[in-house]
Amino acid sequence: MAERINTPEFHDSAELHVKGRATYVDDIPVPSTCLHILLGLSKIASGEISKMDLQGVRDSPGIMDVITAKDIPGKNDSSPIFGDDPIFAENEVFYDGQVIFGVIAETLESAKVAIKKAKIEYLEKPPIITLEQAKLEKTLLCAPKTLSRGDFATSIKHSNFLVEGEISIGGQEHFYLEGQAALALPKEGEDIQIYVSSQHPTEVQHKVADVLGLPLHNVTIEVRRMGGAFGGKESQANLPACIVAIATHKTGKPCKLVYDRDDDMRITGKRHDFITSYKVGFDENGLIQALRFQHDMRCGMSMDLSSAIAERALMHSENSYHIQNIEIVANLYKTNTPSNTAFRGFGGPQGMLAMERVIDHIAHFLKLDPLIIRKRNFYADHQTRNRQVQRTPYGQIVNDCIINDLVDTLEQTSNYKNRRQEIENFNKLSNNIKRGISLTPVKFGISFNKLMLNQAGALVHVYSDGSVYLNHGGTEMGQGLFTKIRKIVAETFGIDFQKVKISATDTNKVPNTSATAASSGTDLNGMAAYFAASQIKDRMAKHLGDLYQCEASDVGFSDGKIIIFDKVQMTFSQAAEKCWMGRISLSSTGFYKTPDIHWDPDKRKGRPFYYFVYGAAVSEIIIDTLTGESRVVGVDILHDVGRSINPAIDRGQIEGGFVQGLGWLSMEELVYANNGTLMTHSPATYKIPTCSDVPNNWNIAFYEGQGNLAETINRSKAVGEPPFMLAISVFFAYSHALSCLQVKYPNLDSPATAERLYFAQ
Amino acid sequence: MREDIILMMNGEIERIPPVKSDLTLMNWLRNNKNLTGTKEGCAEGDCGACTVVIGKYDYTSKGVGWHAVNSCILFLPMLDGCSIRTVEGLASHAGELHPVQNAFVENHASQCGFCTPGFVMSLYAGWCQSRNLDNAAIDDLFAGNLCRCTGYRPIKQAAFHINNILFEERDTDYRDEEEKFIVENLEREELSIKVKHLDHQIRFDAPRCLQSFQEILHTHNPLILAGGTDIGLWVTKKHMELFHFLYLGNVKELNQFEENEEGFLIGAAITHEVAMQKMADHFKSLQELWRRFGSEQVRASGTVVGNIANGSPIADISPAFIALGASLTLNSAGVVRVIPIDSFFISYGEQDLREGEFVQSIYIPKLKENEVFQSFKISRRFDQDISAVMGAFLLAADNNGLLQKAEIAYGGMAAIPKAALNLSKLLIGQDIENPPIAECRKAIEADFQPISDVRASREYRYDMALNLLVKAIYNLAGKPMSYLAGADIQQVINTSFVAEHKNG
Repeated sequence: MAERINTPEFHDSAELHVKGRATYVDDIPVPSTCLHILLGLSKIASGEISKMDLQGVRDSPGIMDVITAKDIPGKNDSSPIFGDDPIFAENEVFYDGQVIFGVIAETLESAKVAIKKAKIEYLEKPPIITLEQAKLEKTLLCAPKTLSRGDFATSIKHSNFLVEGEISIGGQEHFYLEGQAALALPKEGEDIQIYVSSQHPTEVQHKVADVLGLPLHNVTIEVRRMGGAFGGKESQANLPACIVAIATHKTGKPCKLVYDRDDDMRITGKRHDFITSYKVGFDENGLIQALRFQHDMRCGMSMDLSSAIAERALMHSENSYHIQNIEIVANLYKTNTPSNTAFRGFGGPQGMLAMERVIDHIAHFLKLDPLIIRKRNFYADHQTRNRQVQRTPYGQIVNDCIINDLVDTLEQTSNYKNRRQEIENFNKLSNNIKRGISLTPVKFGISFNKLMLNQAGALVHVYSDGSVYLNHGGTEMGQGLFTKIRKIVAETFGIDFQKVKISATDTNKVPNTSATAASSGTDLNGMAAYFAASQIKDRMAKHLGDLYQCEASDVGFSDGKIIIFDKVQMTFSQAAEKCWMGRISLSSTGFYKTPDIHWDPDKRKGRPFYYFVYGAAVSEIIIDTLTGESRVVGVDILHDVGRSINPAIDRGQIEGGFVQGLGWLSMEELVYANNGTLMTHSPATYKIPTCSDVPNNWNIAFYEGQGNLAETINRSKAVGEPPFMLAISVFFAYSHALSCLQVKYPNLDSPATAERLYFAQ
Repeated sequence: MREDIILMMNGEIERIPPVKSDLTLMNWLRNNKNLTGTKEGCAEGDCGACTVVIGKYDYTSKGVGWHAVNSCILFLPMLDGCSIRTVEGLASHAGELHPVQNAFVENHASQCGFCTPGFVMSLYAGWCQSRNLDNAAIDDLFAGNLCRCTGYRPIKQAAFHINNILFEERDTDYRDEEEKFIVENLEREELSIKVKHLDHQIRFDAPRCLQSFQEILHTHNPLILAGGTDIGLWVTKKHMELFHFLYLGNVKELNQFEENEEGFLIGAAITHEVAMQKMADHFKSLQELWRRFGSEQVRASGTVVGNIANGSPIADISPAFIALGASLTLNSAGVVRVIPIDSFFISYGEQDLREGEFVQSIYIPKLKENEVFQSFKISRRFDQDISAVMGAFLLAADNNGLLQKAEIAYGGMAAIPKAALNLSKLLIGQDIENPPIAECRKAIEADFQPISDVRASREYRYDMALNLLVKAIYNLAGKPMSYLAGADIQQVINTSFVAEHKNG
């Protein structure tokens, strides 16, 4: 197995990016007949459509057609699983921003004029917007989800100390820079080709086929790259793809739909906001004896992926801690807001933030450094002598834990103890300025919770000139997946990175793929590509062995050369040509499924994760107590990426994930009006971090361990989501600063905006 | 009159037949020129994905200035006579990457790549301006560009990398030719575009002298257009149909900036960028406020007067001008009226502007001996955000530490930028060592009835109005209160610690 890859290749598309020549959906050259779609959205959050008159829209100059639910030949649904996301609202609307109709126009400009002529009347119903309202009305989407181990009820009674509390955890807009976009081209017969900015081409294919009432083989989906996704294009890209499909089906012309920023923010779902209440029993050393969480989640108007998100929240609510008696409940509430969806971490961040809150609260109660409490409750490292078998609340044996060693190392390298002491001295003597520091750990499970999704395919061709064409089921959203897989294949053949051409994800080339999600892109597709390349390589080796009268195992592939018995015999290109002449198949598919995982969804027990990723961060912040304004002063991160395939890309994921997490916990705030209108629907009001919000003093290191104990490609570890949760350290650094100001526990809610930090004093 | 727009595009002179005047530069680039490297991320000038670099004549320096601008909210005819460079125009004809492009590649500064062209162009603007890019300057340079993937660290690294290339080693081939074009253009006929669109005639007039500006203003009923950083959004966000623009950017008399012993006179076409540079030395606190006004891109396009004239409630700088006692010169067909700026803002969306009248200039008096000006802005995010509360304080104390002057105005406390009259009155004669905090709070409550909105709650706004005042008075009394915005954090830590020791 290719286990020696570790090179910081530049991003596969870096040159195209900086030249402005990387193509996104809206940049694809289209025929002059291409039509443009603009969407008519609901202006109320809940009610019936009593009257809809679109004649004025239709009659407006430059309008080719108007489409509504009536124009759908098949199913009016774009949902990933549950069948509850209408493409166009039929009789009822469920949120402000829901799509009701589409205007198909020659130009976007004429569509903008026309759309104002729509006359829609509603019979309004009082909407349910907030979690508080939803709880009161008990609008559960499904039965509460629970996870438990041990005996919470009894052990809480016998606990030495008890703390209870509640934390409100805000949602988050993805704010991918490229809005949702799709382009449909009519092909021969009933065939249709769709270009879409989606993490899940196969699902788009399924939805479009259902919408048009076609078998899957008529529908081709292609995704070259996305301008960011972060989970927001896992299920949410289905809708624009279905709409362009309907429009192209009806008009027979190419049709394009690109959400502008405001429409995108109004239509699409976001990270779930939670209100989490907790009750914890512990001894005088801070050892947790019993713990109960109740996560109330705002899911929006439909299920989307909320069920799986809730499960991941349950499974990350204990973070890195071995807790014998634990009970976790998740309530999934339906509200008249956009349907909340996947977002980097997928429920994990909320679960983990709640757990770290419990630790912080216990530490405050016992007047101890929270790090002491953390260490007392960690799972034991796998190298600990005479270690007892420890299982997670869902029954998985934790056999790869390194969190103790990792945290000890970070504590040293970051000089945590001295800094904390110095900060507390400072806070006693400073004026309006106070500081805080915190170290928090991350343990994140890798694999899709749903077993079926843990599979991947790839397709590799070697052409007779030795150039290699590679295709696989994963999608590129900026995370560097293509760069890594290209490298894996190049390494397998022992050829230069540049010799491998990686091509757009295409349902015609690799079928039945899973979403590029759950941080699993490289683990799954990298292995599939490796298998595909290895099969060709084996055939080539056998043929060359026959020619040179040696064993296939004597044929070496290195530096673009074929080496037999320590002698360079020919270049890889010549070998390819020789194999072609010798009638050897130089094309292969590869298939991979994650081994050893199993899951009983009813009991919520099993081994859902192939392995865990660990990491920790120390963050230091500074607050102006007169205003609540704050800055992140310094951050030290130690993170486990296993044996990195590309350290530059892995570092990029850590940095980007951390800052995204920082935004979630500090300045990014979604505000809905009482009537359900999203007030923060553009970057004027929804603020993601800018350049100056990033700490100048920022140290990042990879944990030096044995690589992944699980047999992943190159023994690397998934890196997409886990670093997001390293930013939780920032939140508890705020809590530390606020704790220095007062006796009572600050009870900080997220996001810790200036206003919240000010009033939490 | 000339109907064709003439501009330079990636080094080639373009003659563009009349277009609908609300066609944005971005849409023209993407749809007409097929230059899709320039991206739409928000269509409101907040994300910077559409950033291009323009060369434009600057009347105050009598030379060409290079600016990063948001092409999504600029109308194409505004670029008449300018030179535009897009991300596609940076690499050499042979395809060799420009050093700023190389810096991005080599520092792994792109992930999804969608924001990258905008960042590349912002850095190219810094390159053209020969700016010294230290850490703070880089934060400013990129304040108008959002990236959701990288966490900015590698992007900043790319900028540091560029800063290591000596100015004298930087190629100016592109710019020499562009500058020649821009200067020559000043001699061209005035631009006046008329196109028929459906039932309307759509016009764009760009006169070069005040007289012709006034003639058009009085003969027709045009919308006066300056930098477009507000009006651009009327088109891209509100989808308004606007039929006649009268662009003042080329009017020589309105491109006036004067400084004398007494104060500064800023003409209607002067951008924030130019005014900020020229007034930096005199008003240090204003400088920091200005730095956080929009972004590089917004300040390079938006005008000081335009921001006031539109009565934009997001006029973050206006409270400062009120506190400083600025006045406006209003002109109606040569009839001139001078009014104090605080009387200009009447209510939300309503200004003291009579029919046919336009704001010709603003005058800002310099500080007198003894006067100290301070301003503080509180926003959700430090950079490129609109204030939740903004306080401006012009204070002066006598030798006994009693306040002689307290001109105070706030933004975010009312629907308009507004002077705190009760508060000012209360403070006169008060001891700066011992200000009457409780009474101040009452005066603020008498002066303002703020609302709760997405930026802040009413309660927070009241508290901030008071706390910013406390900061200002303590600073005046020589007991500095640290302020995090734009500050060197280590310095804040040091001074905060020392301050308390000093004050016991």
